[in-house]
Amino acid sequence: MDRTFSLRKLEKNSWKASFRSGLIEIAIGLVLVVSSICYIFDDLRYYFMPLYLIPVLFSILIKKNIVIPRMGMVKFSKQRRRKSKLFHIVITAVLLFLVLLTVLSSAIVLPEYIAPEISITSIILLICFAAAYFLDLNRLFLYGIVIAGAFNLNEFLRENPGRLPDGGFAYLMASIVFFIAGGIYFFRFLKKYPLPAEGTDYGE
Amino acid sequence: MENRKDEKKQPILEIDRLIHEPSRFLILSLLYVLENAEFLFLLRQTGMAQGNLSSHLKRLEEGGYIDVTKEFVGKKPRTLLALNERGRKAFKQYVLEMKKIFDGLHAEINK
Repeated sequence: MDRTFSLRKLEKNSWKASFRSGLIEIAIGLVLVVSSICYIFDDLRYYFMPLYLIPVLFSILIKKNIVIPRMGMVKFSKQRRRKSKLFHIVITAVLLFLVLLTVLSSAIVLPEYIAPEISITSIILLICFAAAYFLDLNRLFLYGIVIAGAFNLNEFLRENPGRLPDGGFAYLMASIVFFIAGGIYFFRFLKKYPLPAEGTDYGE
Repeated sequence: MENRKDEKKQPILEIDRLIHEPSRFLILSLLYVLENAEFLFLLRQTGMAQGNLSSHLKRLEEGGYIDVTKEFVGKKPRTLLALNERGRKAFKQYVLEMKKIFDGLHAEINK
């Protein structure tokens, strides 16, 4: 048993505890479901794009109404918040690059090494790996690989229709994995952090 | 008489006893790495009973090491706790003093 006492470990454990509610997994599952819907209704995909707001709203509502009332509010240190900010900057830059790539790809023929599949896979991996690094959430490394895998499988099925249905099948399968993982985390979180009794406060 | 004079020279007796209690040390360690935290968060992270945590926080508040802010979120009261500058200095000083004491002891035991 490790008996060392480290402030860094203490802070990291506090930080990670606030991400063990299953929220991330369920939100990723919802993103994949929306991607699947956009894929199935390919001609109308732009009308379904606002559905990507659902995982965002879901995360905000669940955090505010379920996670924080059970875990309590906390304001992490400036260093931690700076790292979080860096992550948001990286994501914004990546998404801007994605938009630029989309615009460019319609105007000119891009070289093979920035073919859409490679670019999108790279972007998925970059976002997930950046999140894993900046937010100290190692499981996001694995999630990035799973999501990129789902994307590439989807593209493969689209180009090689056969026994397996295409139409976002790979996204749906991946979303089930995330919903199961998220569900397990969420159930464990609810068990570990029940709603505090009335009057649970300092001096009460 | 002689013994009392010797006693005063022992550095271990001069350490900050407000911090030198495992539960309070844990609370201060947590507050040291956070900007502030709600009482419920500290309760969850320390695993202490509510009464026990409240009692230690009261001692730390009376000792001037933590700032306590009570606010209302809707109708629910919320208490935010933060380590203040005095508490931060005292914590650092305590760690340095304990390091000196144990470094010396460690060297002697391992001779």
